[in-house]
Amino acid sequence: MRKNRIEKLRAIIETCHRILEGRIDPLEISVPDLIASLDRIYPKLKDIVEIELDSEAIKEISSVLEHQATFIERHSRIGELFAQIILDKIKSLSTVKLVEIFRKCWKPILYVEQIGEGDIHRAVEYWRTVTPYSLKIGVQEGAVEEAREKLKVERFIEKIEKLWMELSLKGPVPYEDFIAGKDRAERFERAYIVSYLLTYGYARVKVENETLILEALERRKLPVNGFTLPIVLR
Amino acid sequence: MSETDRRVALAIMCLLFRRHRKPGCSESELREIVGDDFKNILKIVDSNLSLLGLQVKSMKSPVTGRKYYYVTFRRELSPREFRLSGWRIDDVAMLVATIGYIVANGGKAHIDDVKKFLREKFSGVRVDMSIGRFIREGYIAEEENILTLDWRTYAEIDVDKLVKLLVETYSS
Repeated sequence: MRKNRIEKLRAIIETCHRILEGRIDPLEISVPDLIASLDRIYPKLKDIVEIELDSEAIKEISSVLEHQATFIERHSRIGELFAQIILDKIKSLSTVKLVEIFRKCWKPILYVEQIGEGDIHRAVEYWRTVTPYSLKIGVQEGAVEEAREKLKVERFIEKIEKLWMELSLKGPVPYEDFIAGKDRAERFERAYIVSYLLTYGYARVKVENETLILEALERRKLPVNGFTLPIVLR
Repeated sequence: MSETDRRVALAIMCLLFRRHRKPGCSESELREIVGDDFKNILKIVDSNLSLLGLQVKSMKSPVTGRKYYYVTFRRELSPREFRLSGWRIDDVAMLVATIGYIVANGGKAHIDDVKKFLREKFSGVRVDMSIGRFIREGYIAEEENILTLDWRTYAEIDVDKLVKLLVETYSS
C-alpha cells in the first residue's frame, strides 16, 4: 500500500514536470483532478518520505497553475492580434480578392426544388383568399386605364417638359415627395412621367442616407427609341 | 433494377429533393427510408456522384446534435464555374467579411457592429439587404441581435481555410 501511495505521488510530480518542461499541453491536464488525487492519499500518509513527496506534489501543482495562467494570457494576446489581422485584411483586400478567397473555400450544396401536391393546394387557397389588387391599393376598377387615357388626350411631351421645369425649380428633392399628388391617381401620373424624365436623361436619381433623391439635368434631345424604367407604387 | 440500385436511387432522392426548409436529409430519415445499412448505400452513392464531381457530405448540427447528409461539390469551383452560381460579387465579399468578423470576435458579434464594419467597405442599403439574405439562406444565425455562423456556413464553407487565406492574401 505504501509503495502504491509513493508511486502515485511520484506520478503526479512527474506529470507536473512534463507540463513545466513543455512536453504536455498545459491545458491538457486537469488541476482539480490532481488535487483530488492528493486529497484521497493525504489521510493515508504514514512517514516523513510520503509527507515530503506530498508537499513536493502540492508545490509542483501550484507551479503548473501559474504556468497555465501565463499560457492562457499569452495565447489570448495572440488571439487578439490574430483577430485584428483578420479585420485589417478584410478592410484592405479588394472585393475581387475576397470573392477569390470565397471561391477557394466554397463547396455549395446541391438540391432540387420541387412543387408537391401540398404546395399546389396552398397556392390555390392563397389565390382564393388574396385581396384583389384594386382593393389593396385603394384604386377604383379602371382608374389606371382612365389615367392612361387622360395622358393620351393631353399632350404627353408638354407634361414631361412641365414636370421637368418644376423639378428644375425645386432642385434636388426626395423622389417620394416629388411624385406625391393630391390623390393616388395624380401620384401615379407623376411617377409615370418621372420615369420618362429619367429614361430621357432629363433627370437622375441618387441615394442619399437611404433616400432616393431626384435631380433635374440639362435637357437633351428626346431619343427616338428609348427604354422605360419600372416604377413601383407602395 | 436490383434491390441495391433501387435503394441507391432512393438515397439520391432523399439527399437531393428539398423536403424541409434545409436541403439534405437527417440520419434518422435515411435509416427509415433507405434501411439500417444506409451508410453502405451512401458509399455507393458517393462513388457514383464522384463521376460528376460531387460528393456526399455529413454535418452534425451544433444545435440539435443530429447528423445530416447532403450533396456538395467535391472540389473547389473554377472561376468560370463560380460565375455560373449567380452570386453578386458584392454579396460574396460581404459574406466573407461577415464570417471573418464573426470568427475574429470569437464566434459571435452584435448585428449593429457587423453592419457598421461592413458599411466601411460596402453600400449601406446593400449591407442591410445582404445580411437579411445570409440569415434567410442559413449562412448566418441571428438571436437577440447576436450573429453567429449558421449550419450552411459549416456545410458549404471551409471556415479554417477561409481565415487562413484571409491572413495570407496580400492586398496589392
